[in-house]
Amino acid sequence: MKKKIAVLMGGPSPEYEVSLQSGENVIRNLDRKNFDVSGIVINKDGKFSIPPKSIRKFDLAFIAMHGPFGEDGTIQAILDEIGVAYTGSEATASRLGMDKIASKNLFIKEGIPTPDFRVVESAYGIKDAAESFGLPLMVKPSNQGSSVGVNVVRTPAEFSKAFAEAARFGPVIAEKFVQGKEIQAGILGKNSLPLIEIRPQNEFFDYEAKYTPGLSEEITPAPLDEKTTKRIQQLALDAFQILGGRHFGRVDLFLTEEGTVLVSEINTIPGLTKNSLFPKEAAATGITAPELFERIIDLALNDAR
Amino acid sequence: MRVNQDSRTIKKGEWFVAIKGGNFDGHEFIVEALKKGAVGVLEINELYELARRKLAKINPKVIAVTGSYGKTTTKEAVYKVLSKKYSVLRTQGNLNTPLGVAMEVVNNLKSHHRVLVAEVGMDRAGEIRETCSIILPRIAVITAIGEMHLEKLGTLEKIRRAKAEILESLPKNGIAVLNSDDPSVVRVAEVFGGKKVWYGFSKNSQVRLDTLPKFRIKLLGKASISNALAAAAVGRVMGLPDSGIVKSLSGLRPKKGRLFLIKGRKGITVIDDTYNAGPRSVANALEVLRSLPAKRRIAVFGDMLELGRLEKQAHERIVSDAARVVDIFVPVGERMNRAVSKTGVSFVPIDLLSLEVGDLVLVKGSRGMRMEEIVDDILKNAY
Repeated sequence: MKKKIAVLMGGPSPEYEVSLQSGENVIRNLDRKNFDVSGIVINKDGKFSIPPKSIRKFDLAFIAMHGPFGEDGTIQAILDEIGVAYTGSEATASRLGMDKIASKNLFIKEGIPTPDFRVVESAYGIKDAAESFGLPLMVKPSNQGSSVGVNVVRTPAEFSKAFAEAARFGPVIAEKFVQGKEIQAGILGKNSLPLIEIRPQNEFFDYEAKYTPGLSEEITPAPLDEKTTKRIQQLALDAFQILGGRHFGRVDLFLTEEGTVLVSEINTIPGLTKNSLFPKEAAATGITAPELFERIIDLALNDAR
Repeated sequence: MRVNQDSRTIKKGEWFVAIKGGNFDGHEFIVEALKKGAVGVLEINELYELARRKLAKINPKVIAVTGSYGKTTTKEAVYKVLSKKYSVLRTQGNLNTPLGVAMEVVNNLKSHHRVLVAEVGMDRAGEIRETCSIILPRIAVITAIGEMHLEKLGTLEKIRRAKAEILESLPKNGIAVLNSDDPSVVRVAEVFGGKKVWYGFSKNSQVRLDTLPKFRIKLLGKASISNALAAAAVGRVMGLPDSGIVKSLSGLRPKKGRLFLIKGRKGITVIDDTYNAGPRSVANALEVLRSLPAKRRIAVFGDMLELGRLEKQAHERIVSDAARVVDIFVPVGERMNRAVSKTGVSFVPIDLLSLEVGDLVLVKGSRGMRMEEIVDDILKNAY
């Protein structure tokens, strides 16, 4: 019996377009011999193209949505209510993952190293943070993924603009700028995928670079010694587990020049487009896109049983 | 005399026309036909000759209608308009091959007929010329030159050339009635030195909506209006008053399978456009879907066949156009299913479709996809 899969995409999020591309990539790669595939676009106002209740007819919802609504526990809670199984982390973990303040507080509580930060309520807050952590500083909204609204500030003149850009999306945090390597660890099931090192052409890896091939250089697997690799992968898995994530995800980390590993953030639904890093990490271990999406589906269906 | 090319339906007193088809040979059925009471056997060229002689004797004014889209609707509209003044014979349904047209003439042309309106099809190069060599049209209508038949004829240029056959077949004093909105028609018309009458929406056409008295038309879609304008143009050429022309046009009724609106039970409305599909007719149908009121708009689209090299691109284009109009897209067939992942449109396989009160459902696809079965299923509340 073929499994009926509803791929959910779009949604009221700055990452609407990317979500459509993720959905498209999932849909294209699902083997029709094994699955009856439907695509459900949720529009920018959060309206479903079919009555949400009718998603019950499906064996599984594959959530290919990023950012608010799709990745922050909202859609997960709706699907729990409807009573349909879905891929990726449950509502609580999703909410935590999207909320940088909550997840960083959790990391600190559980002994997972993370860059120093503070919640700021105005450009003055950034000034205070600069006095504690020094410049440059990362200023970002606490509730977005994909580098949306994120800026590096290096002079006081940039404080107001950076605050305003981040504040458009919600509460703002100022985070100590980490000198070191940007590393990403994909999580699939109980395993960490090969690490990727990001060498951005821009100052840091921003939204544009993330979805435009050629704007950043990615090295897979990251050129690190085995011991460091293992250490980073273990920390990524620990952080993901502490958050309560399941099935798949991506942990963003820093490796400082002194060799310290810090967890920056966790994406419970990393980009799944054909240019996204998560599928590339999987590909580095020989897992093709169709296999990757099928594994995620299997993990979710097993949990649902 | 009556002729019939089908030994299964042949009746006493008819002549049997023995034709060689793609995978059959009518000559093998001669005995069967004669046993059933056929009075004799005709070769196809003899049939054509009979048709020619009958036409020469009765001498009706012959109007040929061809085009990649809208031939049948246009032919019916021309028939309706001209019938107000003349005794008109039209070819039946879409029997538009040389054989179909010749049989119609031999079997049904009567001495009182003053006009013959013939639909002239084109499945291969030279077919139009062949049909025209039998009926010798005085007026030729070209409705559109589109991507249909690409698989059989090859390039769009080859289609243009094939359609130009109809103009080459006109006598010096013949009249071409041409769709000014179709750039390919405009190009083809350059080769024609005789009188041209242009119809359409563009300003440079002689027959436009704003040149006619106001009238109501019960057909859906811009293409139907274009077809009606073609008939109006022929009407004018044939000396009918505008008032009579529009009266006839408002009497036109949609035909099953051609943007045919059906009110189903449970407040579901179906637009049955299952007769055929090509990129342009799909765009036209989507426009109709967009323009009608509905709670949800749903497009059930089957594959478009015979598109040749343009196949992939054309399907993807249709899906992305549909994405702007529909709430749910239902791909039927391998080609539509492959195209559907390309765009951010909601889609469900047909067996997972569940319709609701207020849904407007457009069903369309190439003839070979038999999409009318889905229309029947919807009306039987299968979804």
